[in-house]
Formats: sequence, C-alpha cells, structure tokens
Amino acid sequence: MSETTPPPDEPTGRQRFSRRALLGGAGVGVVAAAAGGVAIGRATAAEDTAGSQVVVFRGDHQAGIITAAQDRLHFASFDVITRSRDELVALLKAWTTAAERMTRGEETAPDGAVGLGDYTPPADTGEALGLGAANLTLTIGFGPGLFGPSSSDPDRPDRFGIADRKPAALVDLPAFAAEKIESSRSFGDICVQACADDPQVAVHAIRNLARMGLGVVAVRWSQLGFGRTSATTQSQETPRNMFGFKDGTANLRAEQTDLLNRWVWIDQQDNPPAAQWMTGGTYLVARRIRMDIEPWDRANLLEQEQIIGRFKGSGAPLGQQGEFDTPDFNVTSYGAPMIPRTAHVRLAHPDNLGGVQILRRGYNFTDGSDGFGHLDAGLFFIAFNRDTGKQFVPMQQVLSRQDAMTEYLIPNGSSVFAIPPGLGPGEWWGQGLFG
Amino acid sequence: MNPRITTPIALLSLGVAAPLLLAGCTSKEGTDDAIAVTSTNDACDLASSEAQTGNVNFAVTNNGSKVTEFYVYGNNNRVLGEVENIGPGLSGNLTVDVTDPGTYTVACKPGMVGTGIRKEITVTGEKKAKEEVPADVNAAKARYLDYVRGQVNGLAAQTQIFVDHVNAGELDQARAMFGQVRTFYERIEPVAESFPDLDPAVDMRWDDTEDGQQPFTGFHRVERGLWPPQPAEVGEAPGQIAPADAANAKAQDNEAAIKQAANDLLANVNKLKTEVDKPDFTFETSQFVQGPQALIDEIAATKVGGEEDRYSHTDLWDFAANVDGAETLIAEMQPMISAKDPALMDKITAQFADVRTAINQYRDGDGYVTYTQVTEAQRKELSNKIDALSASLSQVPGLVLG
Repeated sequence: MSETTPPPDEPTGRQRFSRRALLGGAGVGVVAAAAGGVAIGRATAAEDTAGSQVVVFRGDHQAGIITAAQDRLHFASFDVITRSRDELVALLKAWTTAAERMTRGEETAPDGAVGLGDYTPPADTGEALGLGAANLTLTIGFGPGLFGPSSSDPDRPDRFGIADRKPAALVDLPAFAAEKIESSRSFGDICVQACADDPQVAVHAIRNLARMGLGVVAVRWSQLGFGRTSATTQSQETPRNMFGFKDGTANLRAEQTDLLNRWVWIDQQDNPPAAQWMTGGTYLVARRIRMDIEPWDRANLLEQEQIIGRFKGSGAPLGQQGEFDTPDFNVTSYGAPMIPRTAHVRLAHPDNLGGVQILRRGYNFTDGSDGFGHLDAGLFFIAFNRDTGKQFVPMQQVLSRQDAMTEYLIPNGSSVFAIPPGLGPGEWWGQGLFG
Repeated sequence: MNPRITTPIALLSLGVAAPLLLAGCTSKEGTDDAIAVTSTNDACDLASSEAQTGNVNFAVTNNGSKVTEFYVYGNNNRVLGEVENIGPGLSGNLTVDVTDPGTYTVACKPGMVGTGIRKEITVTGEKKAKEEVPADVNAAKARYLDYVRGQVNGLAAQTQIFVDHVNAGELDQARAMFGQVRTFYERIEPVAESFPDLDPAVDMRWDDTEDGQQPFTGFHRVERGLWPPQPAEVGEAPGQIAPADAANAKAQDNEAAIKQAANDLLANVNKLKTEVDKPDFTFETSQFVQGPQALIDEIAATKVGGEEDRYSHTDLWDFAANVDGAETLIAEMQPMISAKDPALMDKITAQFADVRTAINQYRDGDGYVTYTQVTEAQRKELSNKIDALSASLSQVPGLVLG
C-alpha cells in the first residue's frame, strides 16, 4: 500500500474532505474561508492540487517517511511521566483517533473547537480551523527510555513491562567528535514528527497531542523546521540548506523500492519474535545541528565549495556539469583532487562508506538569535535507517572526524527512536508493542 | 492600573446590593436599541441616561482626536464591561447584561488614561433572574465562604504578629514566619485577587511597579527588606531580582520604610477582613467552580519558576498553600463531580496526592527548604504534575454547572 500523496488524477471523495463540510454539517461556527484554505495551502509540490492535500494515515508503513517531504515541521519528544501502562495505552488510543482526524483536516474531536459548551475547555484548540489538511503527516516513534535504562536515565526501571520487546538495534547514539549534546534537546520516550505544508497545521497537531497528554506525557523538547532539506521523491527538486548549498542530491527516493527495503524498512529476519512489532518499521535519528552561520558567511566561495564538494550554483559535483552527475573523486586539478579529501560529498558518498545509505528527511531551522546576535540556525537532521548502528553511526563517525564542514557545525541535540510500521484498519499507535 | 488583575477571573463581587452578570461584552451586531455614546477629548455624551434591566447596549463613537475607551462600572469601581482602543473617527459596541435595577457609572477615557469622564445611568425594570445555579452548588458556596472568612481571620491575626516583630526589630522572628503567614493569603488567592485595590496593596510584585514608577507595597516589599538583594541574585533570568529592583532596594529599604510598609500591610489586611466579614459578601458561581484550577494555574503560570518569593525563596510555602486552597474547593464540589464522572474525581484525588507528595519531599521541619535548593530538573517534574492536575481541574466547571 502506497503512503505517498495520491497522484492528482485520482482524487477520491475522502480526499476532498474539508473542515468546511464538517463544520457546516454540524451547524456550528462555519468558517467562511474553509474552501479558500485549501487553495491557500502552499502549492509547492508539483502534484498538489486542491482536494489532494490529504495524505493517507494508515498503510504498511507510517506516513511521513517516504511521503513527499512537506515544507514545514514540528517535531516533539515526550517523556512518559506516568507509571501506569493503562494510562499510556489509553493516551496512545486517543492520540491515534485525534491524529487520524487531524490528517484529514478535521478537529481532534467532533465539534471540538467551539461546540462543547461554555464551561469546558475546547477539545481542539482551533487555530487550524479552515486551514485544510495541508498534507499533514504524523509519525510516532518510541525511544530507548520507554523500555528501561537509557542514556538520559541509566537507572530507569522497565516501567511498562516491555523490556523484552526492545529491539536490539534501539540504542542511543555514541558520543561523536566535536559535538556538544544538551540533554534538554535530546532523548525522550516518545516522538511525534508532524510535517505539513502549513506551519500552523503542524504546530496545531503537536500542541493538541501535548494538551491531550498532560499527566501521562510531558514535552521534553520540540523543534520547528521551516524548509525541507531533502527530496524524498523523484518529482521534488533538491532543496538548499542554510549554507546555501543543495543538500540531499543523492538521497534515497520513494520510488527506489529495492533500496528502501535494503536500507530503510525493517525485515522480519532483523528481530527475534518478541520484537516482531518492528517489522515494516524503521529507526529515526534526530540531530539538532547548529551551523556557525556568520563565520561560514565570511568564508570565500571557493572555500565553501571545497568544503561541500559541489558548486554552489548548480549543485554539480566539483569537476562535473550537472547536479545529478556522478561525482568523480579521481579528477584532479594541478595535481590535487578537485573534490578535496575532506569534502562532505566525498566522505558522505556511499562509495566511500562501504555502500551504506540512509533516507534523509531533515529541515532547516532558525530559533532567532543568540546573545551575540548570531543566528541560532542550522539543520534539524532527520534520517531513517534499518539499523542505526550499522548505517548512521559509522557514517557519522567518519564525518565527525574528517569532514571539513564539522568546523562550522555544532551538533547539540541527539535522539534515536524506533518507528513502528503503519497501522491497519482499527489499529492504534503502539498496538504492536503494547497490545 | 494593576497589571496583575489581567485575568478574567475576578472572583467576587463585593457585598453588593445590585450584583450584575456580565455576558458577552464584545461588540454585537444590530444595536438599534443601543444607547449612543459620543466620546470627545473633553466630553462623554450619552443619548440617554436610562435603560432597562437585561442586555444594555452601548454604541460608542469617538469624535475626539485621541484613542478612547468606554467603561461600565458596578459597585466598588468593579468593571462590568469595557470597550477598548477606539481610534479617532471609529466606533465600538458594548453589551452588558444588567440583572438588577439601580444606578450605574459609565466613563469615557479619551487618551486611555486616568479615571475618565464619568456619567451615571439609571437602570429600571424587573430584577432579572440570574442563571440557574443548582442548589447543591449554592450550598457548597456557602460552606466555602466560611472557609474564606476563617482564612482571612487567620491572616489578620498572623500578620499582626509578623508586623509586631518587624516593628520591634525582631527580624529573625519575622523572617522565620514569612512563609507561614502568607499561607492564609495564598489559600484564598483567587478570592483575595477580586479586590482590585487591596490585592495589589497586599501582594504586588516589583514587576507591577513599572520599574518603580508605582509605589512598591505589601508582603513582598517587606520581604525585600528582610532579605536584601544580594549581588549574585541580581539579573534578568526568571526568578532573579531585576537590577532596577535591587537598586531601588538599596535606595529605599531603610528601617523606617520597611516598618511603614509593614504597618500599611496590616491595615490593608484588616480592610480585607472587614469586607469579607460583611454579611452580604458574595461571589460569582462560575468563578467559584473555576477556583481550583485558578489556584493551581497560579503555580503553573509563574510561581514554579521562582518569581513569587524571589527575595526569601519561600515559594514552596506558597505552592503548598495554593494546593490547600484548591483541595478545599474540590472537597466542596466532590459529590457533584463524583455523581457525574467518578473516574475524573478519582483522577483528581490521585493527582492532588501526587502534587502533594512532590511538594512534601522538600519539607524541612515545620516548613520547606528554600526554593533555590530545588534543581531545574526537579522544578520541571513539579511543573509536569501541576500541569496534569490543572488539566483535570479544567473539566470541573463544565461538570458542576453542565
């Protein structure tokens, strides 16, 4: 079952569902702009047309992984603060219902925003009324701490009796060179990645899940992202990162089914019986990588291009013509490699990493400026892979030690989550783990 | 102006012969029957000074050159309705639901400053029935009023002893009882906050003085005298003492000034006692049922960051007192909550216990450790529990009144 946005020539009745129909049907506070909201949605992706802005919530894999990358992100990591398995399960069920509704462009609950009476806090906070679904996807994952001890809490007991279900590959990342990991931007028991083409839709989704979760979970950290830094389908153009360079040219794409099966989706043979709930899932690595923007901006163009290994304008590998030309690491100029030995492209290329690949799905971020007036900006790196210890970790060990770019990078947040497979009809988030 | 009275939870109406019910005080379409009000730079003209009980509509036009506001007041200058920020040449509408006949004051405020240009209107007609309040809610309110009066009596008695210590120069004794004397006030804070003049006089923070432009009075002024700001505590981070605050303390907190502040505090506490003890003292039902959440949100909104008792760091006393007050209110409403949603009542009970346990881990003898000993991580844990309790309490008004 495909989880990508359906092509424009196949709109179904459900995909045309808008908040207007729901509100109007209920006879409350009709939002006049609802129909307009669909058209207002940023129609950047080529396949976008009014009526096709709903990404299907259920399927073999969770949406939000190989779904065409949306423009905006709100990513939240939660600590589970209850010790009651029943409370946690009840929340996951309630979250599933609300999440599926929100991805259809509906309120978290019928009439939730204004229809529940004067003396009850609304069950939907309302700021997404009339905005349409905006291709919202909500992707849930579970961190190592949910199963017992983890980096953030080495003494934690197995609070929910699921230690035996922990997949062996779900471990926190080791320390890498030149990073300054802050605990308050890292780790967590549950993550929810909200991606949408409208930032308010993504923020609304996380805000409402956090509101519903009070007493059961507490937000540990969250991150807003504003510009996708990866293309995940062949129809998407390669975006640029905060250094101004095209990023992710060689990324895995949704259409590369064989490569996804090899590098992203977890196979039955990957886990023992107790961890079969992960089959069809994947692992998410989230890294908040602050970029040293101002020094970078003072680096000359030649230096910038040599650090990256690509031309800034075209995105072509140094020594080549087009963006998608294969980098040739043997080309030399005046006796030196055109693509320097420390260039990001060279070090990150599968050919130089034993063929290892990952699916990147990060976002640019800017959290204002720091006390020196320097932009607190960079890349909120998100990657999906089948075995983090065999894919992301060796890749990052090479990069953190050798990549010339690390001089301009300060990774300060680091997390790993197990992303279960998608939901079948009637299933709820975490059912495979807790059910 | 008192910046702390910004919440719509002004809980009580003072011993009023003419209680009013405020409904949808925002602009309303179709104000054919509205009283036309013309605000200029020096006049506030009303087309009529008479109205009937029920919805009273005002259509305010600003013919002056300054931005204006329009207010309707009940007893004790309590604002019943207001329309703000009407620019020159613009107009605004206001609807106030007046349940009782009587004389009411209205005011235009060209330039949005001062007490405004005041006029009176006479409201005639039948006394309109207030919204139906279930009998058990009224009974609970009556019992709660006894509690409020008891706390205010305790407050007055303890404040007397506290102020006596200050006046006698027994500052160690005064410091030792500061957290405890505030308990009585913090337990009934939403009630006390409904007195728009007395609450700031008793419990204002430095932040309410507009950096010293308004006089700094009350408990926290005396607290600052007892715990003079230390250089390491001065800064702009949450819970720190603002540099202007510290400079003001250095300049103005001499022995005579602190004694004066203490005596003023006592006088204002006694005024509060007099008002609450009046036989016709009453308060609004909707705000009674919102009281538990209001008290817990007091902690959640600001106190958990350590801003309340920033000189003495006795914040944990205040937290415990807010929880006391909220628990008392819930105890009064428990039968009503249990009848409609026993699971919610169980949850609230468990969450109160959870918050109580979290606070009790910081007990030290008869009191609490200073809040500076509570780490950031521990504060976050406390905040998580308080947020959870508040979320459950937010369901109470709909249940009790629904």
